[in-house]
Amino acid sequence: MMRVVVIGAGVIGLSTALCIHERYRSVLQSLEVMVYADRFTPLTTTDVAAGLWQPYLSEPSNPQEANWNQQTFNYLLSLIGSPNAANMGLALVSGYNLFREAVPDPYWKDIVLGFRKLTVRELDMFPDYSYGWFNTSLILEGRKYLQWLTERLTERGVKFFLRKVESFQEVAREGADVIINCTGVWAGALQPDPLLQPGRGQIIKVDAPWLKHFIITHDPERGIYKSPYIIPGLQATTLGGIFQLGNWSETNNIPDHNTIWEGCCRLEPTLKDAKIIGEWSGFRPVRPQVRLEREQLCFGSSNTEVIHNYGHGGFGLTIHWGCAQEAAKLFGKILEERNLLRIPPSHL
Amino acid sequence: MSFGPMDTVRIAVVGAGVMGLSTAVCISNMVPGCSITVISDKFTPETTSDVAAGMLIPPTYPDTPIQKQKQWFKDTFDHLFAIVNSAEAEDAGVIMVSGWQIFRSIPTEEVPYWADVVLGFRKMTKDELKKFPQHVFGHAFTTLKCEGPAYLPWLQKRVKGSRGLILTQRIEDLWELHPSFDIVVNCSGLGSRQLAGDSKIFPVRGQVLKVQAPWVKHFIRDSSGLTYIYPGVSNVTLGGTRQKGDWNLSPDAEISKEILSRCCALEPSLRGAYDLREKVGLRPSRPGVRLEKELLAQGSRRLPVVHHYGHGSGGIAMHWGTALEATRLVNECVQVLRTPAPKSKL
Repeated sequence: MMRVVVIGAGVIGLSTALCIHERYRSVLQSLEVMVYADRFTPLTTTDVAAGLWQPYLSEPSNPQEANWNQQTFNYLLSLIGSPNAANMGLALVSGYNLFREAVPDPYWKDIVLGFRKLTVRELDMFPDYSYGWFNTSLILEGRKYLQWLTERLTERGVKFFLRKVESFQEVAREGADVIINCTGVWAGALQPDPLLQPGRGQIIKVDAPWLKHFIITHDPERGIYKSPYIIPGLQATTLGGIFQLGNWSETNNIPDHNTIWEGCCRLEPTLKDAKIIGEWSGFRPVRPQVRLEREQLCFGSSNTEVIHNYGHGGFGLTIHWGCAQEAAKLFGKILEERNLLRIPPSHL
Repeated sequence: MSFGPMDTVRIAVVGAGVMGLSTAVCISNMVPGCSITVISDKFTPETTSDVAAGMLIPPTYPDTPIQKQKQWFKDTFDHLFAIVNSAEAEDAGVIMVSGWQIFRSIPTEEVPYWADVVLGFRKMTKDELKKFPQHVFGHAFTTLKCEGPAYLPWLQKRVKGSRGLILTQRIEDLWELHPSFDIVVNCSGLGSRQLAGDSKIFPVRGQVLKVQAPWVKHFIRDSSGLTYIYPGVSNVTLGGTRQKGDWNLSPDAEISKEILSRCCALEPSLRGAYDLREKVGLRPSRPGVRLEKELLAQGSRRLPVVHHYGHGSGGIAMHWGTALEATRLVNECVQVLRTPAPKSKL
């Protein structure tokens, strides 16, 4: 009996649980996967995200992250033609990235569809900006996707437990063979990580069904996500533009609301007619690189395997599937080392 | 009949679809010294313009020079583009939407005449075409959608704002408007079969489904024009049919099923569409738009008429451009009225 405990029920936790169960249930004598979390949808960080697939503009310091982003896009794109796409929270969306000066093309320009520079007439629509891109990408709405993942996991017999885990040891003592650590911005509570910081964001969701394109502005002097963005979702539209490193305040505040509202209305004047549905804050789990690696912890006489999978910053949905696959690979190695595989999985 | 330069010229616009209302607005903007009355038996939301999806993807009129069609389309696009970039966009029912026009075989004309009027026009990439396995070629671009149920009331407001009058009345004969009006602008669409005795105009029946599928953010149009998916402000229009000579305004359930099936083949997520509503419109089709003056004569009575109808499937796409031209013709009629005629002709 292989007992796996996934800590965290955001997109990283649930997708990793699903990936592992999909790959290894049939090759193990018995596999029990449990998800422990103190927050479930709609209260996770994933639920606050707008859900647009778009990596940061600059190449990641770990080149594997670029591959994981691509794997995620290709995986999601392959699901676009399925009748279930909307139930998963998945849809194609096109739109604009706007800049105040010419910038090099992003490394992901051939991953998205139809990437091109903006024409003069298009730029005329945005008087504050003089350069930009147009491309077709994907929306993966956090809340819908987490609900969908939860359904898939429940079908497979994965169990969910609302509990706050205080230590890896506590979980190990209860009999977990492998712990998957998907605790996002709160990973430091289980094991100090000075590289991990909250990148606080605040967003306003509005009802503006006439908006069909995303509009993301960039201000390289201020930094990523500190410039207004408008991202239409499957039902509601997300307005944002806040990124505050080190700010742990989970309450919405008025100055940030005003920054978002004024910035977005300037970009898109019709927003003045939009009805506000709600406002939320969340913490992007910011880290120089994603922490995706194994660690063996010794508690008394037994070794517990931990697979860390956290620190996805503002690109969790963008990168999640590639990371889930990688975490599953690491899990596979553990199984090999312990001679647990009934049939060697051919695709590892 | 002599007109002094200060006399008000009384203009009747027959028809309150997109042609009638936009022409009324253009005249009030461009022709001084007129009073305008829009007369129709049907108003929004019961006109043909209300059923149309309103996508700015123009047809090709076989009898009209391409340069002229391009000018009409460009004038309309520019007019609506200014609205979409203003805070009025939502009130006027004008939105921007991107998407694809897809072909089952490579067209002889790979770049249509209107390619540089829409935004960001280019050919679809191989990766984009993968989404449509039955199609081998496509256009990707951004265009506008102008929705009758919002746009017509917005135009009506502008007519009233310029002190134009709006009258509900069914006109059976253009002479009914004499002598109350000095010039008639005939925007009666299919009604011109009777009102203008025009046998060249005929209906092309279009049935559509207006559905809820808010996750669909792109238009998809099969180049045949028979199957299309047009996301709008608050619903998605699925179409359609092109049934020549069919006057039937009642929706056909079998056709609805068939439209849904064709659209789901292009966009499988539409299987989750809900709140489906059937609508039928009769496109006022003609080999070319009738945009010309006619001086009706009966005994000693004279009635100058400007005809402005017959746009088929290109009504919304061409409306402002043709309304501007109709307005120029109206202006010519006004000039003639204001020019003192030699007394011997009276």
